[in-house]
Amino acid sequence: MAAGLYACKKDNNNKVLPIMEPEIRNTSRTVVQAGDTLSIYGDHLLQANCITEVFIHDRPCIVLKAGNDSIQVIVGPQTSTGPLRVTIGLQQTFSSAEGPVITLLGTPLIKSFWPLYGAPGDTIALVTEHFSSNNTENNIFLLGAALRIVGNNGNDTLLVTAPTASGFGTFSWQTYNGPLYKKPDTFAMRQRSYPVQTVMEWIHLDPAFSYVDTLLRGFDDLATNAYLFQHYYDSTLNYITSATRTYTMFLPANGYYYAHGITMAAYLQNVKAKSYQYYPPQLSAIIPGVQLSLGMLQEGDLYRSASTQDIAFPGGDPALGNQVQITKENGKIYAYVVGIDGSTAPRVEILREHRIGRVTILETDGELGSLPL
Amino acid sequence: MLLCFACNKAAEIPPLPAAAYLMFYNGAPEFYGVQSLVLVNNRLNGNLDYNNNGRGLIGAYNASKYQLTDTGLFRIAFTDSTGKTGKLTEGIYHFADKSHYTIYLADSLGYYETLVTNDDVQPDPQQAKIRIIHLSPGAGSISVQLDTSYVTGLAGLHFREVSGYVSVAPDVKPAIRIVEAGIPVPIIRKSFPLEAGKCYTMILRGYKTPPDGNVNKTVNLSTIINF
Repeated sequence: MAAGLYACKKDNNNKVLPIMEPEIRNTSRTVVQAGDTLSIYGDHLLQANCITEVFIHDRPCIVLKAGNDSIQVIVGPQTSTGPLRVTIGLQQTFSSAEGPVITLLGTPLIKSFWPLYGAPGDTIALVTEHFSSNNTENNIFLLGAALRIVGNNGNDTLLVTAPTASGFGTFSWQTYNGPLYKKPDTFAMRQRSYPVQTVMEWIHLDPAFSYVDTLLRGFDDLATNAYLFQHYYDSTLNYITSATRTYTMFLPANGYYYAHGITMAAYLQNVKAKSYQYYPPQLSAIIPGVQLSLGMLQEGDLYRSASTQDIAFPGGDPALGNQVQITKENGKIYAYVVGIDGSTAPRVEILREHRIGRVTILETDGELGSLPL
Repeated sequence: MLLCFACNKAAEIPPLPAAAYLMFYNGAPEFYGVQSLVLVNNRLNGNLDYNNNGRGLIGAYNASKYQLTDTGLFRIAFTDSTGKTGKLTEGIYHFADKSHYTIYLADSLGYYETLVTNDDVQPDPQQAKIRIIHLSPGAGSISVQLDTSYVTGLAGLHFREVSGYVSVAPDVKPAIRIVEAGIPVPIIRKSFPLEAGKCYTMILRGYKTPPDGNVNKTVNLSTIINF
């Protein structure tokens, strides 16, 4: 009988843990992402000589700081949704508490953005994954500036405003104050205005015109059978390098090429292969003698271009040539080339205007083209 | 008098201490050629590389290796090969007296977790008993065929699922095929003798297409003879 008592006492002594049972009362959040900071509140979460460990779905979290009534942890990478557990260990003994199920969202990602360039204040659409539907929990940065979120469909698209900045930058972002992620693709900041005198200078500085800038600067290297287009090119240069002429010029922005998946290399190959499709049309895009603005353009306006018969061949009629017709539809303004026989080229949309002294660039979403003279 | 002594002696024999039987298996392809440390209640309990159950690498099949342990709640953790970055995953499991368990390290592209099976089953002296655990993260729903017949009870298992034991006829060289739903050709075919009175756990492991291209991590079938 006595032996039995002793045995019983001894067993009890073995089972007594010098660890007070931890308790989880609540957490700062129950929906997190890997890398997020999570606070856990409760009792006995830190005890003398003991090690406090935190797990979500058995995956360890990084403990930032621990106290008796709270722990702050970073959610570890590659953690799945599952219960929260705090384990207090002392050598081979332990006591643990299970908390709520913590839902793990996937890593936030900006998959793509459009356009690839913009001026301060322009709206940029970001195709996203695993961002919060609550904009205050999303932070997006570009060129050192925190971007203002102006739209969020709660699923896969965020709209942000381009910052007041210049140059090329990459997007970085974080959600729920988690880790900072980056996308390697660059966004080009353009300016509302450049301190230049000519179109040639403008398109060289404006990253939205790098394709046409390369085209016009690279004539000597790119034009095949250059002698056929030399006169067109020289006539074009007379306009775009002049600071005194008054004219309007339609120019395609890079977005047209990006949208069609035409890389710069492919573009240059096309220019070499079909130079006749690139150099003569530049003159059709020039409206001499008038500095147009978006507000001036009216349905049915027809403007004579600089591409006239006498430039195409000696003895040609200077009164005949390509003209540019303006049309409007659903609040948008379009332009298209009209040939000497009344034939027309596909229309392009006029996106915005840029004014340089006595010249206006009307930025389009495609190449205006030209028609036979 | 003699009977009295015998009775007394028997009464003094202490009852057998409660004990459970544990086996560990590393099913994480990332540990091909490198060791993961197994921690039981934060104490090192050996190390295992990929497809190892403590008795060595499992080819087509290998014997079990159960360790005696106490009963109650245990922390079971696996670390990386260096042990420096801490635990990859830790589960808390309850082990009951006279029960056999296997703790598996599973992995899907770095999403590690531990799984546990209760291995106890009553052997059938006339039949072999088999079951399967699905640890191949890239494979979809799988079923087992013996020769060309589906085995009832070993069908429709997804990653991290384990079937119950199923009695099958003993065979010296059965064609064991693992078939993935929607794919006409078996993803793996193996053969090992199924003996009457023995109980087997088949482990489908590895990636259909290993991320690093290491052919040793491709999908395969290993079997432990539990009893």
